Amino acid sequence: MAQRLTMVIDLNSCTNCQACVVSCSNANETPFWTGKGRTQVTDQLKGRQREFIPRLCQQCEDAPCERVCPTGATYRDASGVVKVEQEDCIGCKACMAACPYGARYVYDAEDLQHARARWGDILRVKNPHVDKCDLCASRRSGGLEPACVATCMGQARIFGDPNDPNSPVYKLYEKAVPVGPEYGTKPAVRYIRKAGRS
Amino acid sequence: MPDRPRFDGNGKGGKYPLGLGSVQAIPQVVESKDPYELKAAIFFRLNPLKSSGHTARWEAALKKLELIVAIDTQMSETARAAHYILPESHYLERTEALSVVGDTVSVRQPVIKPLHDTRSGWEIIQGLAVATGIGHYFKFSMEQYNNALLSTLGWTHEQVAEAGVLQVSSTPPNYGKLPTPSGKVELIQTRVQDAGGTSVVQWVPPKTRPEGDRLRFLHGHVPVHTNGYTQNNPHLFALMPENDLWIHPETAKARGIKHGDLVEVANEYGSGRLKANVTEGIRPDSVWMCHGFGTRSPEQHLAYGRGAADGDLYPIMITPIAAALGQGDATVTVRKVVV
Repeated sequence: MAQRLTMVIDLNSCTNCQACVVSCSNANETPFWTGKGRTQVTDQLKGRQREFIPRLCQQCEDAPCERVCPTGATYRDASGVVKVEQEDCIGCKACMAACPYGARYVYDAEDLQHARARWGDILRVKNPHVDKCDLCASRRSGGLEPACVATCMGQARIFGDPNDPNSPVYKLYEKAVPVGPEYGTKPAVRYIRKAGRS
Repeated sequence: MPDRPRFDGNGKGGKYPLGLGSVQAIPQVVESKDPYELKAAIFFRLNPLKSSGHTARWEAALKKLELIVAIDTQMSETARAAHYILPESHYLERTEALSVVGDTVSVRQPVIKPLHDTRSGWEIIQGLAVATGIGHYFKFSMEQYNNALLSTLGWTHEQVAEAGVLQVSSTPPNYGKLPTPSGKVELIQTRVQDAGGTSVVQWVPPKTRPEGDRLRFLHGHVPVHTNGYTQNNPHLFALMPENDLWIHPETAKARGIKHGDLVEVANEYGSGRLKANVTEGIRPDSVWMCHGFGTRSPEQHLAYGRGAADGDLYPIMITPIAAALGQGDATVTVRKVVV
């Protein structure tokens, strides 16, 4: 079976420490000072119980953002990961309207200016664009796992290929569920529900 | 060994034989000169002007000292009050003593050279020791210290630094025979009894009660921030720039407070202003805020003036027996700030 990189997120293990948000913004040079970024952890009160949900691009098999992109800036690579080619993005934001998970955000000219001041010569971002998570393509090209996975102290984020029997997500994948399957986008990211909850 | 007892009564022969040190004893010792007059204090990575209760009383006590030295990585409130600041290298710039967790040994090592004219805490202490004529006790580097600790295992600091984390072969705990006099779980603690306490843990009612318009004042921590140290970190500031006051919907309604309103929390020790977080996640007779905010140091340009400090609202308390910092025994009034 073809390679398909994705993530399983165990909701039992997230403490809302937001280390994933910090490490992601450093690894991908995203405008964290604005509150925007590739991943977020939401904190919702359900009755008197708080529920922490790590959110990121769901890596849909039938990705609306990819389908509506007029320039092909949003595309899928050989490992099934949906990516953005910054130079080809014209900033039309169609992808933002199309994504039912709110996983895309604008990395605008002002953000880029601020990022240049912050990261200087090491900054890899060259153009304003509508950004998204690519499962840390830059880190993976150096043999590293995604930043959010590496820094998750609860090991709530498990990265790998559900088709590969040696991958840490292989056995978890069938136990986990996709969020918003009714959108029909076939998200590859899955979540392990909190024990004792429906 | 010094010929005088510790100022805080901690340790063998003192009022708190089981205590490990009570920095919060400083104000009362300064005020009473009992057991003796305090003339100088060196604060090392410690910020009592934010974190040790009744800030106003602390400020008055510190003003009476002839010498205050602060060793810190950032301009804390206590550093601002010091006569001398000895800037310490950031944790990414310094070597530290070995860290042992369970059966693993690791070492903090510098990943960059110090960006500024700073030294590690250990180098600062060594320098102070030389200046005060006791340098001969401190004639070793942190690497040598770690090597001495590791010698029984046959390892070196260098090896741990190379490996990052090393696992030690340890004997698994024997739950059949515990390291207690009886070899079993002991509910009776003679050591605590000998130190002036009761042999079995006993409920001691708090001195204060939430009555009338007063609410129990509580504080805590969140995973995003570490104590009072990270509020000015740009990444963590972006995630949580200020604290808020958790207040029950019924309690808020009785005071005309809506979610997000600016409120003033006040009592006999001090006051603070922050936004209300109206939530069922708290009891109706209590309010709660996260520790570490309400920074008064303008050099911490992001955190400055954001949120409120719980330390302003607690009395300075040394808990019985353990001599720890006692918190949670205070009540407050809460009102909406009309702007």
